[in-house]
Amino acid sequence: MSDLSRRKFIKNAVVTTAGTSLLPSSITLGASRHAHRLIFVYYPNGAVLRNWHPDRFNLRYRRGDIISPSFAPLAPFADRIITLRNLTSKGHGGSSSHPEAASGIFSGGWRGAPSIDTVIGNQLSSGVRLDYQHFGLFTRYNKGKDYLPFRDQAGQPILPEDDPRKLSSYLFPNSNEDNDFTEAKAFALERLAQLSSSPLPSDVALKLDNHRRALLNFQSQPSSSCGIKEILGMVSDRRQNNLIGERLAKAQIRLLVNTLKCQLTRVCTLQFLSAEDESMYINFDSIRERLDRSDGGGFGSDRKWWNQNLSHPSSHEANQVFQVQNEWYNSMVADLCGQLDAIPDPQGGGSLLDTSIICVGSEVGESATHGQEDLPWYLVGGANGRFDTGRDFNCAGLGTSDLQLELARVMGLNWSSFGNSSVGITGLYRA
Amino acid sequence: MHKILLSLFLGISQAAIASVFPSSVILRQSFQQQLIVAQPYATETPDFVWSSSDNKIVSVDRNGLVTGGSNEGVALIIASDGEQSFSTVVSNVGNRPFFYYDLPLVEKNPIIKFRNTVTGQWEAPAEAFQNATDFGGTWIRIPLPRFFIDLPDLYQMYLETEANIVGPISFNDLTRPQHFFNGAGQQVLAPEPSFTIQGTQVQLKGGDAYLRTGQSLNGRLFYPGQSVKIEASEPPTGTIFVRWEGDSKQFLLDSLSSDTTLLVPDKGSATLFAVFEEAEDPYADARNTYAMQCALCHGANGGGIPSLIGIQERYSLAEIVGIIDQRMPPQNPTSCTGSCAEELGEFVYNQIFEKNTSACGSDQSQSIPLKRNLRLLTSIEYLNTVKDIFQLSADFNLDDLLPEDFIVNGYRTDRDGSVSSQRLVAFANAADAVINEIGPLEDLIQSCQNNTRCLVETISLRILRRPASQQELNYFLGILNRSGEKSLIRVLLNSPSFLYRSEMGTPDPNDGDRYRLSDFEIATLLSFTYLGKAPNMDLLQRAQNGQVQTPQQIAQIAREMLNQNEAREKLKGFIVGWLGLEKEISGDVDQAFKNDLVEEVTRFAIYKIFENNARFSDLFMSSETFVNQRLAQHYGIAGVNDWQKVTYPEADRVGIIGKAHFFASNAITTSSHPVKRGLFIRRNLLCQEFPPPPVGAELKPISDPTLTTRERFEIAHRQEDCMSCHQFVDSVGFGLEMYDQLGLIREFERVPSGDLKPINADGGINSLDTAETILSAESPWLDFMGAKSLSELIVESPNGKACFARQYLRFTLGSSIEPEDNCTLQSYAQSFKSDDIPIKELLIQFTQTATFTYRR
Repeated sequence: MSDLSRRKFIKNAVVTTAGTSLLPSSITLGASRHAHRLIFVYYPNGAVLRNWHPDRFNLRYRRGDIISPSFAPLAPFADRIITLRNLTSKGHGGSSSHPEAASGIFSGGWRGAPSIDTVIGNQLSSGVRLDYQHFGLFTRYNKGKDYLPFRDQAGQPILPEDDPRKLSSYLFPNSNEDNDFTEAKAFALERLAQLSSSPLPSDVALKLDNHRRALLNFQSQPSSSCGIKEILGMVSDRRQNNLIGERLAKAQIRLLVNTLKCQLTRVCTLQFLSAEDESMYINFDSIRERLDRSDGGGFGSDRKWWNQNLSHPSSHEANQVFQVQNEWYNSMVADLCGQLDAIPDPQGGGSLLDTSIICVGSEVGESATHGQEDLPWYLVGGANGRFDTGRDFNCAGLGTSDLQLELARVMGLNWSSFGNSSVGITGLYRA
Repeated sequence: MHKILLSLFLGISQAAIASVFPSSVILRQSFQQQLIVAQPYATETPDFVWSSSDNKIVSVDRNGLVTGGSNEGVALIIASDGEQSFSTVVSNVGNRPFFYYDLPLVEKNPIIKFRNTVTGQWEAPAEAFQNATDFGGTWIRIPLPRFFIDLPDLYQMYLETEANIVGPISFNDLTRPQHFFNGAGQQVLAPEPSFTIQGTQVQLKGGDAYLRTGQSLNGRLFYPGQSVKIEASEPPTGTIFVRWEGDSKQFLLDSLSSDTTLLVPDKGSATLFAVFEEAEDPYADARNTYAMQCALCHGANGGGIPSLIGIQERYSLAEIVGIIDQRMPPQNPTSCTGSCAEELGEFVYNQIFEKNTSACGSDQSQSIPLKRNLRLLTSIEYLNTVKDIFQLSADFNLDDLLPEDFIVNGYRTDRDGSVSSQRLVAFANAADAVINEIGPLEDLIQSCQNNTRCLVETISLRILRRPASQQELNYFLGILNRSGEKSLIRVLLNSPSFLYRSEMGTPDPNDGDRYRLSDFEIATLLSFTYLGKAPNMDLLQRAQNGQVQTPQQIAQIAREMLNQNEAREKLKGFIVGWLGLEKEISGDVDQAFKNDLVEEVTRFAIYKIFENNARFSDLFMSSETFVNQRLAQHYGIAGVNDWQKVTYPEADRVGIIGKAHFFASNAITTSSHPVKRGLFIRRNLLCQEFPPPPVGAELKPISDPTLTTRERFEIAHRQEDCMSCHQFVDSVGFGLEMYDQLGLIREFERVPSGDLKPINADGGINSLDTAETILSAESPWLDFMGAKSLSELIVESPNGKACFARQYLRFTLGSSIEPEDNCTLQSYAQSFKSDDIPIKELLIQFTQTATFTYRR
């Protein structure tokens, strides 16, 4: 089967799976001035909205402004942020159930369909080694695959790699350890061709095609300046990993930035935990001081491993502990922004942050009610001059699918529809 | 007791208020609209008689479907059940056309108004905009006023919102009944029906919602008052649809019909779930008797010699029964007398030789082979296999290299996984790590006596789990000669034939719809199923010799495997997933004790199943357990130093529910959690799932520090929408309130305010005998208190055993059970459910279904 026919097959298979066409109905590369890269940051279980939104509407943000308590760590980047108000997932894959929301909200509202990151990445893969790359933190402790938010081209959930050391060896292999994979690759390709030569169930055909594409993309990279020599690795003990959780997150962010700097891909995701997470205690030293409160939600030194400090239980309390967790995710986004802003974009247009879009979001809105009508999502980065940043934008009830369609357009894809949306969000960016 | 519980949940009077919904309707001549009598918490669809005050204006049929008549005007539509009457106003606007408008989201409060071009005066129609429920989306509509239709040249029409004025709006042809305009005021073609983006979220479990036909809109939003087509999913094989339940069933036209209409209520979400019941063949026994004793002469379908076709025209039922009772079958006329003859006589008289029910039946006729698949090895399967093939040391591991597995239904599986770029590198690195550990092949396979071809044939057979083709062997020999043994092993370990477990089969010459697994595929299936690793040389040779084919051969192999130590390790994977042993425990105790809690459960279950040949009931009712010193202290057992078998001293502590792990892993650090406990029982032990919680509900117990845990949940869930699901969950958890967050038995609870309050552990459970996985509020409630009485109810219920069998099948298949696989599940679990066979036998029964060696 030729590349062309395989792609067509995958497209058809996706259409069959979803029941109708999720894929954009019109795909052409648009204007030359578009964002260079797209990063989705996922965090679980929503937020406390009273601490999330700025107090007043129609604000303009300047560098150093504290937009709201939740955004305090992002003050240095306030002028690069667009906070979103009244963005809904209702009717866009949203649900009051965590796994149902997670499995549809990033897929244009179609549960079990490919998510926006993989669809965009697949279409912007020309000239880069990877269609997309996912980076995780504690995603391996998910409650089930439906609790994972992003899906591949076959609609299968993606379980990101949580271990920076493993990921580093994959992204930046050391040429000194290069074993000759040529014969293994040739035999595997031959065997896949044999298996594919007879009629197959569509899901098996998709599996084999994924495998084949992986083999064709496989290359032993020469040692490169992109590689990170000393990087943290995970251990088998969950509690030990929890203790170094913040360092693991920062290591993943370093890897993500290097991946983009070295132009391995144009689309990445950074995933903090998974929906309804009850595996990680977000109580790192950097935030302990703010956790030690006596308002019913805080904890003393003897309460480090209490259930109430896990993401999902605290999300229903909507208390100080959960508030600080939200701030912590945003502090990690600030770390990401800082690293991207320190690297000039080789294609011009300023720093990597200036030419990128970071879209941060969760599967539900108000945490205590699994709200769907006002989601705590926001955008950071200049999108290569396309975004009018440093402001609060009222989405007026438009949905996550509309936002995803608009992000694709800002990435240069002239789509007329994606998933449930055919309208996009007018006024979000400069035409 | 359940009535008390229910009224507590409801928090409202059962004397519910009914009304006709929607409360007012505007029709055009010939238009139709569905009306429904809304009666909150009605247990059955009420039988209302509909009538109209003026049939010439609007008529109504027996289902509440109103149709515009020939006259313009207003009529009252009345619904009466003989005791109460309810009414609503319906306007018929005659043959006036409708103006449809696609209202931009940012615009609010639209009106139309007309400017008299002669006088300059403004005039407005009497009616207001209504949602265009036919088209959903942002469409609204309004009938055009008569003065404009009669004198269109005299008036200019404008559309005004809070933010904008559009107009004058020009119409192409006012005689047409419908006119569609976009947000800019331009006339457009009629839109396609679509979902709306504001309103009520319709959530269905076991069904789909449609506007007309086409894509399912389950989970989407609809305008209140909109008519939505509701269709139940295809019932799992062996079951039939019986009714809809949920918080909005009173808004269904017919809650007993699988294909009905929902009039969308004005609330955050409308939740419905389809209730299926096991289909029964009333003639199952007679059919069996006929097949065994009559069909040889009379034919399978009654058409043999002598023929029974049309016998009811020649004999009465009593005569047929008499003949059977006294004369049939001729060679053994006493074998079917009395009730047997009566049932068989009725079967023959009614001519029901062809089974016309959906029942699965004992003949496995409804069993459908599982789907063909290539299953990616899980990490543990990969590791076990390479350790076995290459005889690697026990502590060899690939933890840092192999990818994480997916989790489905709590079990680790990569059944649906594929080799992505990242996994490809992971597998390549894992293969290299293995290669670095191994010695020369001639040491590994000494039987080949250094014969190169033998070495290649043998190692490729082990790794690929099938004999290599001649072409492949030549290729492998070439690699061996060219690049050496390690290169050959690298090729084999990165081959799709190694990485995927093949369940593809070859076309069955006797049945074009199915595929027969090869002997090697069956051997592989058996070995991974029971031992979690690839088949060894002995089994591969038996496959090669055609000894892995018949059900007897396969059962024998399964029995042999279950006697091996690896089988215990493999089954631990099931126990871990089934009982949620990987869940984080947040009790205020140290990590070593938490590990003990898990260890107690696995030791108990493995001992019971393998050493005790336990039945299902033993896992729930046994007072035996295994404890170490820490656990013994926890349970109040003296004289224990290291792990040993003991008996719980407390009568209310038995089986898996009585173990501290169950309570500690379904709790929060500081207190018990009845909802977590109830959900675990429902989901893990009864395989019953729930639709999402209602939109907008506060999802936590109230925080009054003077109340007990039970009271805080009870009060929090006294909301209309919460009740439809929490009635199934909370009372189960409440019945276990006599155990604290670490599983210690208590009589009092210290509430957050510091007071001691007595425990109320009255519990209730239902849906134990519904069709498998189905919850039904109409199922009878059974009272219980504590782990022992709850365990008894589960053990004695059909659904307890059924769920255990389903869970094991989920684990073995690495997936959920598809509806079409239900009869396969039933046939494999039949003797387990009816004859109480040991659990080990259930594991073997999996191999004895009619379709085990086939795929579709």
